[in-house]
Amino acid sequence: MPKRAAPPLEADLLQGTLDLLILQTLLLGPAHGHTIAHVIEHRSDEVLQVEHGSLYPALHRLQNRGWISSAWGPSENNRKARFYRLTAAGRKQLTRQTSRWDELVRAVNRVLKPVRE
Amino acid sequence: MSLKRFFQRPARRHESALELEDYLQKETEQNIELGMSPAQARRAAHIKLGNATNILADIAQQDRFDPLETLWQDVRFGFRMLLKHRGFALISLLTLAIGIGANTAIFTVVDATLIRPLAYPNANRTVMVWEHRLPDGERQNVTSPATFLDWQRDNTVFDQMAAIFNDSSILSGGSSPEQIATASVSPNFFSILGVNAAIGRVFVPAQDGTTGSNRAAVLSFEVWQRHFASDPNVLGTQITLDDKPYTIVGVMPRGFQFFVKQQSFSSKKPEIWTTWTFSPETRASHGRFLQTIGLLRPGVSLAQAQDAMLALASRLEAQNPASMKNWSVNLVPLRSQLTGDVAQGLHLLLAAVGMVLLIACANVATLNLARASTRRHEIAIRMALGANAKRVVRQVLTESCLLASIGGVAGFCLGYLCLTALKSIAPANLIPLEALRLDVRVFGFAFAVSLLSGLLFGIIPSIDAARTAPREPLQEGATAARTGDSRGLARGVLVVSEVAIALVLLIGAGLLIRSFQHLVAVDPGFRADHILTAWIQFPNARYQKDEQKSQFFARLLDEVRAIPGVRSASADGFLPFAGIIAGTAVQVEGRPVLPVSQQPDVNVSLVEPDFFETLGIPLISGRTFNRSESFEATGNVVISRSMAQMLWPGENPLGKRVTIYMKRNNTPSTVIGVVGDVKHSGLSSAVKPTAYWSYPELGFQFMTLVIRTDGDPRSLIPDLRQAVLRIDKNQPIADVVPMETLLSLSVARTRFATEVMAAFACVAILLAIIGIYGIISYDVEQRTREIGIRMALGAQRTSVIHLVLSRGMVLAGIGILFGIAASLGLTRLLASILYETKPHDPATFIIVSAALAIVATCAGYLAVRRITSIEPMTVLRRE
Repeated sequence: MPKRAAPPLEADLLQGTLDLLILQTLLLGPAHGHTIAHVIEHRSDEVLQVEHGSLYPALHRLQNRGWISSAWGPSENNRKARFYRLTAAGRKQLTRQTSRWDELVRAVNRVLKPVRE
Repeated sequence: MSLKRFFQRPARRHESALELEDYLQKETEQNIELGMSPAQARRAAHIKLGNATNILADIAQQDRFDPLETLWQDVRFGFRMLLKHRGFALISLLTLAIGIGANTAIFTVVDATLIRPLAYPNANRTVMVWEHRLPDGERQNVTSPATFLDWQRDNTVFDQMAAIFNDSSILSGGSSPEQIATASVSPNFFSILGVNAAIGRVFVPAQDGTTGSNRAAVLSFEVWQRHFASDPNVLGTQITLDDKPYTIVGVMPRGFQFFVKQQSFSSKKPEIWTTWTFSPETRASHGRFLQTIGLLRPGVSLAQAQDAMLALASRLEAQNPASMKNWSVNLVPLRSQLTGDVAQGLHLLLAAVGMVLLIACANVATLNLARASTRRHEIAIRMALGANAKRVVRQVLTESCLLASIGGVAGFCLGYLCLTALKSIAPANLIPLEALRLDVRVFGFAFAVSLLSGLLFGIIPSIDAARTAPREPLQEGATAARTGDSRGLARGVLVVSEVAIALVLLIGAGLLIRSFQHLVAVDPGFRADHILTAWIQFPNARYQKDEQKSQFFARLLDEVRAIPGVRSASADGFLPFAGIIAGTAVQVEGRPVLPVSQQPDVNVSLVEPDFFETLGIPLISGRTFNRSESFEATGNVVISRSMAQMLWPGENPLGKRVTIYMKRNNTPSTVIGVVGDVKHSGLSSAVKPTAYWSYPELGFQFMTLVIRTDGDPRSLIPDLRQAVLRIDKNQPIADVVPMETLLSLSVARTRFATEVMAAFACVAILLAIIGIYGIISYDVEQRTREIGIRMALGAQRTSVIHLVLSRGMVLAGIGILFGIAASLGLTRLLASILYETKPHDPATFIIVSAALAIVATCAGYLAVRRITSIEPMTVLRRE
């Protein structure tokens, strides 16, 4: 039952951060789409309710940019599944984006803190 | 990168779909484990994933490549438009296919003949060296051993020179003796061309060049296959040519041939090569019979070589004025030698076929324009919806190119058919038929021509479409769309040029046809019907004595005369229309003796009794040879009318004496008769003064039998062969052909060019008719409303018809005027190939123009006929 809806607010807000999350997830080792989705959801303590479908265009885009690569292989229950793996370029990209993200978070925090105090 | 992805789209889409399905399965299983029912679990998985169609579309979006995407859209749209307008598409495709097909066929011929490199590695440095006979301007005359040796020794521009003599020999030793074309060549002949043998070796000057060395022979691939059953151990085998032994030293690669027809003794491509060596007595000979090729030194240009050889020629003339006065030298590059006379005709055909394509393009452009105005509504909507002019131009051009490509494919197929037809009507030796093939190059050519014509006929309609102001047609409403002025002008220009080009082609073809009529109406000087001819050559070793040869012929002719159906039989040394003839200087007895080079020149042939009667050459005065003269040299000569007029103008030549310099000991001959002139080397050739001796005077090794029959000459061939074998079972006969065949072969090339030109002209006129019909009927359609109103207001049908027709006729008239003007300029290029026809032949111009005008009127009338079916009331009610 597909429904015509945009990804949830969270994903919209964090446009671009999805890439970062995927790269970060793959740092642990190769994984297929389903796993990546659940890992992201789980590790963010279910805060980031990514609509899993939006993951796939992102994977496609990352692959086109050469940051991740994919291959078809047997999954746990012996069906064929597509595994994604971080490439060297992807690893570099991850470092770069992580530090930029940290900067961004610090900057936003600096702006927000006085208000909270 | 994105292009690669673009082309992998279907596979990638499939993978993404699989991946999503995989996700759904995993999620469903997980949900079931959490305690959901399978249906619920699947539903929850779907919700978790989101809209799969959107996801896939999102992914696919990343793999797009816009230019191609647009092109693909345009092509698909174009296809739909073509299917929708089937009539338009069909006529356009047919027109294009004809234009492209004809071009493909002609290009194939041009490619094989003029563009592809010659099969000789040194072809670019190889030139033919001819003597140039100044008095009658023969620029390609064979040379003599003495001159050749002088050239070879004293020239400064050639690395090497070789002499060639194309001969005919009897190859014996097999089951039956075979008359075969051979060539005696200098030992360095093959190394000048830069070719090598496929098996064994070619001649080596050090080994094969000395007199007295073993006679070596090189075989052509074809003879090796035919005569030696492709025996790989053929090297070292002895063969017998004209009763002399030769050792085979090599076999040439398949397809190797070298034959220059100009003044060749034999008219066939040589199949066996032997070495030419100069015996001491021939070294000094000034008899001219050798063809010469030379390999230019690297860096020496043709002009430099020509200058150097001219200087050498004048030195040789100073040394030996008797033989060399009035002779110069002429260098011809090998390529132009081999393709020269064909090249001109091919350029003509290429120009003609190009014009056909132009007409075809004009036609399709007219149709396109006509259709474009019915499409204005569609285009206006497009532009109103935001399409920019560039996009519209691109759309229309894509459609044109699509049309042209389909037309190109059809044309390529049609070209194949044309080529087959061309092969069947092309005379042998004119074009290398075996080299004609549709290959990648031809396909590339057809493709390029298609695209070019697509752009050519698409450009005007597309610009026209882009100029459409969106508001206007939308306001007018679909039915009332009318032609704008500029559009009418564009179509007018197209029709005018179409008619003009068609007229140029028609006039060209008309001139060629008239020239051909003149040519075949020429009297050759004899009656060619019911004549069978056959070539007989003796091996040198047997039949050495003149009596033996004379007796052989006397017996043979008696045998032949006894065959039922034979009226008379004789033989000739140099048959008219079959090739060359001997020529020499003459000196009338009792007149001051001139140096050889200033004496008048005549042709000389040998004949058996009854020759003139058999061939139907009229006797003008005196008598011809009688039977007893076929055994004994009596010193009598029969001369042609022109020889009589040249040597004894206004006098009776009978009984006069003249020395004909051709024997060892030259004594004067007595004129016993005068016969009519014969065109020896073709209908368009000039008559040359000719002397006929009886056979024993020179006792040639070869003669051509001439047999007049009651019925079909061909039916006599088996009897003739048996008659020869009855006398000598080792004696072959060759070239058994009716005289009429020789005659028609002599005009085959002209006939071929005329036929092809006429075919192109027919296509051109057909296309022009379609064009005129199309434009006028379109006019009628567009003006239906106006015509209806006119008629409602009381106009007569005839005057309305006249009104519409006159526009078409004015266009055709302007086209004809332009065509005449262009023809006046262009037909001059035909001057050299026309026979007794002026390039500005008024009759042709008038008849052809009038014919085109009539045809145009008829086409126009057919198109306006439908006016008579217009009902004024119906038209007005539609408004």
